[in-house]
Amino acid sequence: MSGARIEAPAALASLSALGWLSGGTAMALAGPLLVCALFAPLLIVVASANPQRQGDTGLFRLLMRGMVAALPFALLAVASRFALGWDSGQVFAAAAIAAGGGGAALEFSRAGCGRITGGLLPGLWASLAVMAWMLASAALKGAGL
Amino acid sequence: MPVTSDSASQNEAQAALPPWRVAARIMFDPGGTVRRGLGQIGPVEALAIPATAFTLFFLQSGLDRVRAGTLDGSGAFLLAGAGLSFGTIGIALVALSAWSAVRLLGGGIALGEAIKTFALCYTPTLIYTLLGMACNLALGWNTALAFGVTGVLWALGPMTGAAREMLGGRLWPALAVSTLCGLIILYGWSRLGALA
Repeated sequence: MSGARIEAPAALASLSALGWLSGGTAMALAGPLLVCALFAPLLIVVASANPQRQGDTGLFRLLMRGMVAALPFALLAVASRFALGWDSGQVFAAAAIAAGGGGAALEFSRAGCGRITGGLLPGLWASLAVMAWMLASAALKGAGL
Repeated sequence: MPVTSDSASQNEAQAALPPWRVAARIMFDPGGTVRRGLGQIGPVEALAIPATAFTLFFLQSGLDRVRAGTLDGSGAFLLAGAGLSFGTIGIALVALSAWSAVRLLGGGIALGEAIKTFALCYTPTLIYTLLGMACNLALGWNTALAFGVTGVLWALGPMTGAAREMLGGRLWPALAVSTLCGLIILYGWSRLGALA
């Protein structure tokens, strides 16, 4: 599928844009890395709990396919900043990461993962990622980076 | 496509569900909910969800501004009335735009079902605005941005899932449809907020 090749770059670019809007340039670089680092343990848990999983698509690719759900939030955050003059990148980023977690849960479930590790856990994990994102972006913004 | 006995029994099970359970399901499994049909929910019941959500959202905007001294009490109620109009007529128009986009992108769903589906996608918004209203009144917090905007954004996830199901599982067109809906809502809110 041609769309599959651009899902990871699109998801990471969306997170980068949201990082820039919520915490400045440093967060634009750190944001996507932070999300990948925070979700890496989840991928290990999902992989070890679902050895029966069907299909050739890797879990990272499934995660990124779910995280593409952040794209509308990034576009709306950019529109709200430049067309409406709102400074609410944190709100958009939090909703985007949570939606990305939900999207990942959907992709894991479709790939045959269990209801708890595939369906429920990514959403809960996303809430932790949201908290870490908010702390990191506030810290980086406060540091003036 | 022939209806299998499995999907037929799933549809019957969904039809027997009370409306609140269908509304709850669309938050967690929008695609599956659209696939199985919306059961007994009528358009008025469906539109009552965004109507209540946006009334409370705009009322919170008004209360925040009353607290800041930039609006009086009657202005806050006027803003709540604008929210009610936006949550009914506005969301119906957003659903109409989304339905047109889905049709243009090759999806197939009846207009009535599309309006009900997109209206039900605002269930998370309703939950957030109810929580926000409680914090606004009980604790005196300014909640329009923290709870209101967050709630509106939380509707985008179910909307993407529902649009994806309407578009036969295609992700990118579904993202385009939900972005379009989000842009209309944000623009509408900013315009209506500026009126009061």
